[in-house]
Amino acid sequence: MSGKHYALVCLLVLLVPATALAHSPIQGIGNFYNGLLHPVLVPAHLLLLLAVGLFLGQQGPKRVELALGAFAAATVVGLVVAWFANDLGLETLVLALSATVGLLVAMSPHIALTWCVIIALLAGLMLGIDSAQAELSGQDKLASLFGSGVAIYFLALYPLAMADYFNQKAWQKIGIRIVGSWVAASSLLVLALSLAPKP
Amino acid sequence: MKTRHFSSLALATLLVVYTSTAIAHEGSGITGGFISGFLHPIVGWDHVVAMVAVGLWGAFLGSPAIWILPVVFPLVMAFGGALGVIGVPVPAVETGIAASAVVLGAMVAFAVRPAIWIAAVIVGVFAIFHGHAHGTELPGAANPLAYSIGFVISTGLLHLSGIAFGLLVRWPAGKIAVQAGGGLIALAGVGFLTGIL
Repeated sequence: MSGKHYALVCLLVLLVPATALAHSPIQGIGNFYNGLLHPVLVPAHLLLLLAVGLFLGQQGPKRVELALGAFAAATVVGLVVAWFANDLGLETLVLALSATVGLLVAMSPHIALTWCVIIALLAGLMLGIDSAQAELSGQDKLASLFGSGVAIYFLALYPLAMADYFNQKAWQKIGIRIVGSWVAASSLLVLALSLAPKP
Repeated sequence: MKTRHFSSLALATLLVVYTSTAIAHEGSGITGGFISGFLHPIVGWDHVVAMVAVGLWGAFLGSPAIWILPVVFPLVMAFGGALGVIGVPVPAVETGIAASAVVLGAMVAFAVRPAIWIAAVIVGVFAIFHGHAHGTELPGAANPLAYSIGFVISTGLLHLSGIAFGLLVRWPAGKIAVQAGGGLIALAGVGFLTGIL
């Protein structure tokens, strides 16, 4: 086999397709991106972020500015707790809160600012604490928690902005309420599963 | 000649040894759970027609039923699903699902306009049967939360399909088409009940 043939064979071998794993849990993407993806890859977190964002947007971001600040601060506190503690098993509480907040979005009542702040505090705290990845430590963990914090803020802001923007016409408000009922329904079901007696 | 054979053998060995990942369960994890949950209401015609009927009836009744029914349904369905998950038996689930198509389809076909709370109770009762059917599948799902998100979204989209079709009631010919659609759903329900479909 000539040199040209070898080169051709090498090229063909290189072109053999292999599976591209977007979420190879999660090697090679770095700890920051690992943390950034964490709230996206944990459906319970995603549901709570969607519910809280829609809830605060529905209540009017201007009116609940204090709750937005509370959410941001509580997330930081939660991430600091996550730095010291691993795997506190908060998923059931996260689901219970997302079911409650989803139900509030579906019912769309006018909620007093104090309650908005309490809900935001609980959500931020739980999401932050539950972002700990037990297999990481030191600088790796710091980068991962930082990434999770960034993702938590953005993922709460998107639904918040959506609920605030789509708050003019009747059908827009209905759409937000329907999404709230979906969040509540999904959370309630898995909550039931986690509380069900194990076979 | 010998060298050529050796090269060919080396090349064949190289290609055989080159392995890619063998995936036994492509639909595992979050994605698999979501997809199986999303498909569960869609691949069962009894679920499909009943969900579309909920949307149709909501649109037919107008505001506030047009949004109350699609909000009530998933919430009560979750309750039915929770009963399924924790193993509380609900009698005649399949019959209840088939009956939901008959009753909801007939409501649209005969243009029945009850008070909103009565409509919500009727839809809610049937939602328990549908939820129970989905809920019993939940513990075996690849990712239960992704499964439940999938089937709730899929159910909601079926409601939206019904609402979109139901909005035709604004026009006289559209009203006839919607009522005819309700009649077909009721007939399909009879088919499910009798085992013809």
